[in-house]
Amino acid sequence: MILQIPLMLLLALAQPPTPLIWAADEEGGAPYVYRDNKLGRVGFELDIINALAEELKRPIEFKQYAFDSLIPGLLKGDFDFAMNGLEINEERQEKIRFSKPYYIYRQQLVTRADEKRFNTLLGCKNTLGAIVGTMDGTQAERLLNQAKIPIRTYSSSTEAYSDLVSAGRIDAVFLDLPMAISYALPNKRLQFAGKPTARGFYAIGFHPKNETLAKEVDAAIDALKTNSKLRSILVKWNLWDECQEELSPGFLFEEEGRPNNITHSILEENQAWTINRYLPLLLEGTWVTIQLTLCSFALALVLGLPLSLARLYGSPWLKSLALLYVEFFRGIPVLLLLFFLYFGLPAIAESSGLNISLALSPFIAATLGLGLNYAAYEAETFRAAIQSVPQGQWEAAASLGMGKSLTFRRIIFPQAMRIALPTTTNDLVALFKDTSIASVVALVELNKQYQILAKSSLKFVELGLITALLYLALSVPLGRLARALEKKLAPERR
Amino acid sequence: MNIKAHQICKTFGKRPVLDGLTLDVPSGETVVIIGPSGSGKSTFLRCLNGLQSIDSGTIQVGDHKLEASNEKRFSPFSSEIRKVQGMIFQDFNLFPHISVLGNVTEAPARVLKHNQADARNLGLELLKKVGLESHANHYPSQLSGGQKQRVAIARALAMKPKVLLCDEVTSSLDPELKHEVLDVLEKLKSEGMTLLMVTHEIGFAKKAADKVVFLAEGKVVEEGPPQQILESPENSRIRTFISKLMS
Ligand SMILES: Nc1ncnc2c1ncn2[C@@H]1O[C@H](COP(=O)(O)OP(=O)(O)OP(=O)(O)O)[C@@H](O)[C@H]1O
Ligand SMILES: [Mg+2]
Repeated sequence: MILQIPLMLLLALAQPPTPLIWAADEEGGAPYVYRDNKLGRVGFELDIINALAEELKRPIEFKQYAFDSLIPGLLKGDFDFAMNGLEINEERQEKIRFSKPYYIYRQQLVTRADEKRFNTLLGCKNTLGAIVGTMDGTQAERLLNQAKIPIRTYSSSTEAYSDLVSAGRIDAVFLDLPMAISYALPNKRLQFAGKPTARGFYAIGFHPKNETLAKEVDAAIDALKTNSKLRSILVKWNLWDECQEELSPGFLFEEEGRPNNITHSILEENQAWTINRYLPLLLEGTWVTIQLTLCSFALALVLGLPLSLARLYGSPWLKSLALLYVEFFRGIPVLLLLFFLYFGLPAIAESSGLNISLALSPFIAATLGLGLNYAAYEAETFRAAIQSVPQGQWEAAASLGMGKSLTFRRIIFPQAMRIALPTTTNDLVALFKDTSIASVVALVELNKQYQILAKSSLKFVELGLITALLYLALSVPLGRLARALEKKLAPERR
Repeated sequence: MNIKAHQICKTFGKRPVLDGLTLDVPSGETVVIIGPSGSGKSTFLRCLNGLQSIDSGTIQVGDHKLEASNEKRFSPFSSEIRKVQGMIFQDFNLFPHISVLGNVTEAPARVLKHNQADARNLGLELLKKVGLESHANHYPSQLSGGQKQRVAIARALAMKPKVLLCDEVTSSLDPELKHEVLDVLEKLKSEGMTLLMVTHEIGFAKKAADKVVFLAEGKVVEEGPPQQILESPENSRIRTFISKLMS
């Protein structure tokens, strides 16, 4: 009897908590939550939901619900909350309780690539007969109506864009930036017209009486912001831009009158472009690039030396193993390696039923990938350097009674390092530039930061120049340092 | 300490380089080897020092013996003979990344495990002996050829050898620098060092050698006191060789 009570308690604890029901419209299109032919249900909101579930320690179940019925359904109590690119606006705020925002959206005008008549919303308005496509019940639709621009509405972004590109029944599409990024950016026949404008917030909708849950979710969202998980999800989906900086907890939303006053900004095209705004972000990216360079180079050196020793002095078995490593990692593209480490490893862990998670952080994956690759090059550099120390040095040491390993450590290795130094430093400069490849594993280093900022500001040239200068500011002195070191060590050479 | 080399044979590929070479160097004497290029002089010294394997024959230096061994399994690092025998090379082979003093103290400090102060005192004493104590903190690249070779001698002496092998130690030096190295070697001889030298310094050989050996095709052609070999050799090849050296 006494034993039974804790046992029952245990059983009760083992019962999973009741799942929360989340409603969204899969048919609304990418990148919110949608069906991918191969991957099934995906989307940046699904990723956020998963992160929230982890934070709340409660499973969350998906419920398909038509987009324009989400709010009635919520009030009816059909599900616990709605999350599907719901923009915060006054009308909705009167009916439902919004969570803290998880994304700052803006609207993007997209035209066909050959459009000559206009490239702003104002220009479109002044073009006789021009029709703009958008989606039902969106903020974009309201804005277009307020601006008295002729519109055609669709129930999904896919339909709107394909009507623009192939059918040509409309002249532009005005929709949230995430949709434009998902559909129009990869499509060569479409172009972004002007800058994104009219910012606002996506937030999760709750029944006004469900304050307890709303508070819990608010806290979870704050946590995702603090631990940067939200940021990495947005980066993964190519949605991160400098606007999102404002998402940091406590930054906004509590402030009155700031966010929703968007109507007047709709036709305002010029967002002040100031270096003060972009430089800190680019410098942040530079710092990530520096850290990545140093860590991966350290790894390359630490792996490269034993590899070169195995190649030179190992048993035949070790020798061929080291050779295999060198040939393999010099032979495959770093890009492939990074993809494999970042996306492939977790898949392997999953499919092989391993209980460990092989999901590496972007920084670790990039460090590993670049380090493993450069280790192959460093191994060859060290090998060549060790071999180019004259044979006479070995013999002189031997004739003094020095052993093989003592000779290597004290006589051969120090000289080999001096010989290898210029090549190694050149490799360091090359690696420094190669770190830009890490953007494929969602690491926001300098190059990625540039892409993010340039995409949102469309200042490709200006930001490009600053970014190039930042790269040069580091690689040129590094090259100089190499030459200076070479000179400094030279007097000791024969 | 004496050297006894008996019936040494060494081939590189199919080419015999040492072909049954037998040579004695009595303790405290100076023996000079001369002979045409490619006759195996360097190979012989390297075999004596255990830097190279021998195919057959025996080498004895004092109590230390070197046996014939398989070339593939041979390691130049295993020889015990280095405890009594030093070697000096034609192109010095100083350690370019270490100071002059460091070159001299490296082996006593690391192999004989002398403490720092002892090794340093020994190094300075030996550098003084070769007239270079003022250059202790220079690097090899800052020295002249004659100075380099004297550092190499000091470096070899630091291991307290009883026998020194010298392979054309003055050949890459300007004529006016040769004597500073040869003077040091003469001094060592007078202190009782056993010297086996390959050199074509006829003047030095006449003055300092106890025995001169003429080597050709890996064999001893003739050996004897310097006057005999250098001035009236029996073999006509030696005469032509020496007259070419003098001209
Ligand atoms: N490691 C080696 N591998 C193959 N052949 C070698 C090797 N060392 C020396 N030889 C050959 O052996 C022969 C004798 O060389 P060695 O250096 O002993 O001659 P030497 O008498 O010292 O000549 P020199 O007066 O030019 O220094 C030469 O023909 C040389 O090519
Ligand atoms: Mg020689």
